[in-house]
Amino acid sequence: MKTVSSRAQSTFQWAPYLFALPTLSLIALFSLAPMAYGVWMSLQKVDVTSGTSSFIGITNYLRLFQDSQFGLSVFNTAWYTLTVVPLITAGSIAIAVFLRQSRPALLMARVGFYIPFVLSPVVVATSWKWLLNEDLGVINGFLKWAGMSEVPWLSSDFSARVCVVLASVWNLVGFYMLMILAGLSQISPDLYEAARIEGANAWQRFWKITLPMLRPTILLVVILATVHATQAFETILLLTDGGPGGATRLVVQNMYLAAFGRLQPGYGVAQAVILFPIIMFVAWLQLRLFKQEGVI
Amino acid sequence: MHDLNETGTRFGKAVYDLCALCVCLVFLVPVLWAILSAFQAPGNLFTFPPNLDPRKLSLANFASVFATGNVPRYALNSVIVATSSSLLTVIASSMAGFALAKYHFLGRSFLLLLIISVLLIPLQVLMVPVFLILKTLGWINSLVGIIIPPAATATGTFMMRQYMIGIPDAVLESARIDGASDWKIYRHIILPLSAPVLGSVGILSFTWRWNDYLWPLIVINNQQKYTLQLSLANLIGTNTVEWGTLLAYATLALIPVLVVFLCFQRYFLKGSMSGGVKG
Repeated sequence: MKTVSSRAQSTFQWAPYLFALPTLSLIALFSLAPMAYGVWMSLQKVDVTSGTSSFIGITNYLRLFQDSQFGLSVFNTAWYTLTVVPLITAGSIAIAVFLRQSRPALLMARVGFYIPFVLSPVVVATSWKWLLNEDLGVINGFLKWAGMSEVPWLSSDFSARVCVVLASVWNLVGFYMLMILAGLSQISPDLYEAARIEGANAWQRFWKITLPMLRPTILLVVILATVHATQAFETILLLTDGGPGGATRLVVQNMYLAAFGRLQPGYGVAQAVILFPIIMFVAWLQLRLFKQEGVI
Repeated sequence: MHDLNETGTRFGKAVYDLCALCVCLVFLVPVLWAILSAFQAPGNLFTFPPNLDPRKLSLANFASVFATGNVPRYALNSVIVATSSSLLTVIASSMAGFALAKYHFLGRSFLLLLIISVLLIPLQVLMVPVFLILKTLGWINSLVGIIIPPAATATGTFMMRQYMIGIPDAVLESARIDGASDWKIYRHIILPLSAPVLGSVGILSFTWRWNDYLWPLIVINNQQKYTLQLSLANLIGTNTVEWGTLLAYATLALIPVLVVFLCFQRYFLKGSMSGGVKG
């Protein structure tokens, strides 16, 4: 690649560093430094009222293993991730395949499926709370009207978990649909033409051409959705507040409560740090993928 | 399934299209239902079967929104935050994108890697330390505290870089031969030629910042500094939820983003494809 500096490669240039400086300093101040600070904090016992802290080594981490609340939130996060990620992946593939043609009506439908993604967590939670409200919601209203028993959507463990998953998938699936659509547009029409001449039906073409060719895109969707799922917080906080009885309280909310509710920031951050290796592993996978795809 | 409908008759295609739009409409029921309910007269809100007669709709709920607090103030705060933060994002990410796209310099790959890794740092690790840093800076309870921290986005920087790589080097070379400085090249050549991507990044980050809930929740507890999202969220938390008011408020809060999205959907759909992640 020829660049501005190619003419004077031997002389040192300040310009690119100065151009990168604003972004770099923001990242350093609000991402890198806080991360290092966080790891350090997890080794401290912080007294919020006096503002002092003392080094206690890995005590915070050892405490985690005896904390049943933390255990529950890890279980919940795993449950949430293992249901949300497959649903998002399958859902986004299904929608993208059916909206693949670029006819006006289908383009409109694409915009429609994307809409939930531009809504704020607050609006998403409000809409779903209203829909699922036990006494006043339209779903239970319908069930009552049809002579069936009402369902305590957000106040029984299992259904609250299911509703949280559904609301998250609803919120995000349109975004991943777009990524799949981008992947689909890379597949050569010749492949389908050849398959048709060979007599393959639509079902066979989907399994033998579309899915294999989409593999890199699907992998990317799975990884991004996993990263998202392990960080899910705002919508769930507003929808169920972690309830009932902690059934939908994920690790992020657990640490939020420890840090800002019970004022034990060191212990809170330790919960986040211990999950970091897992997320870094996913990150490593993602970087490898980016390299394969030639993004870097 | 690629061509289920490709070889079909015109009638077949029309049926297919209609089905797709119907499924899409059903998909949108949660938000459409909330908006419809916001326009119901207070007496009709809880009836089943629901009132679908447009003549019986009312704006009463919207009037009561303004009794819940200083709503115009919150709206103004939201506008200030979203506008200034997205402006900062556009400036910072276009400069960084330019450096990454058009210069070879020591540490370039490292910088790219650094920006990618920021995408992957889990939010939960950052929440407490950033709060403490903001406290040290004296930015707690101030709009600056929700404007500056999210202003550097990896997604924005990437979109800029990908776009600027496509600007021909010959244009920059000739400007340089004419004696233009690096800053002049950025200001008078790169920026005008990058107008589409500046628009994309600006619009995307405007909606992100408009929708932000987490940072305001942590940083702001003075009512005068509330954003729309934060005051709406606090309304959800109260024990005596006035559903009509709540839904009308949610509708008001979503309208700006929905309008921006529908007007500029092209930018959104393209931006999300190249950027990859929300930031």
